[in-house]
Amino acid sequence: MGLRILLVEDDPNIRMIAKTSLTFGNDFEVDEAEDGGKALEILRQSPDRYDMVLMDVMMPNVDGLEALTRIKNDPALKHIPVVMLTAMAQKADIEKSIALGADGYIEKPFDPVELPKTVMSIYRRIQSERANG
Amino acid sequence: MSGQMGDILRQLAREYIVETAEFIEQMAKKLEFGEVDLEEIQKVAHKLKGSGATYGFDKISEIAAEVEAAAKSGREKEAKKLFAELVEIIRMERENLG
Repeated sequence: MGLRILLVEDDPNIRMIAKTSLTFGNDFEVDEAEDGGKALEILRQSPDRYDMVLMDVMMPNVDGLEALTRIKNDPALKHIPVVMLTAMAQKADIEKSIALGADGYIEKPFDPVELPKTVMSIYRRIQSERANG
Repeated sequence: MSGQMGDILRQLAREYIVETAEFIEQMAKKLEFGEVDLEEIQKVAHKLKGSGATYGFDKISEIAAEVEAAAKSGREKEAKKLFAELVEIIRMERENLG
């Protein structure tokens, strides 16, 4: 089962390894955005395209927390699962993300070998929670 | 790590180090001429802290974290000294590629 993911991350090196990890040998389709503002443009153009947004927290222009807030406050976008990519040391970011409606988080640095399994596991958990109300 | 995925990740790591080494050499030159401020050092260090660890270069990530911390708290001399160490480590990793 493949997922369509919007990967939002300002570091092109991280985007490269994440996209490679997710798409190689997997059914995932990955589109990219370099900041929260670009992500919002893409999502507003195609609100039903993505199964998940993977979003970094610290980004220039519109950062991850601001983008998350706008997504979850937009009736056309709030259904999209948003999973934050956040450094474990930044506990405050994790707590803020959850309070703002993030559907999960993945610790950075992530293991590129494990990333596809982690993403799928979070996706299944989200779907199960939504199905059970 | 074996298999095709392992090969691809190793290739990406090589490309990362080559690119990072070029970038950091340029930054080291600019630093020598006083064209780089503490804020920029902090930003670069923050990025390298994350990407270094993700690509499996733990030493780069560790030193970058120290640079970031020093720059963030305004310890300019220390930040620049640690930055020089970071440049050296990246150079060594680049040389180790052959």
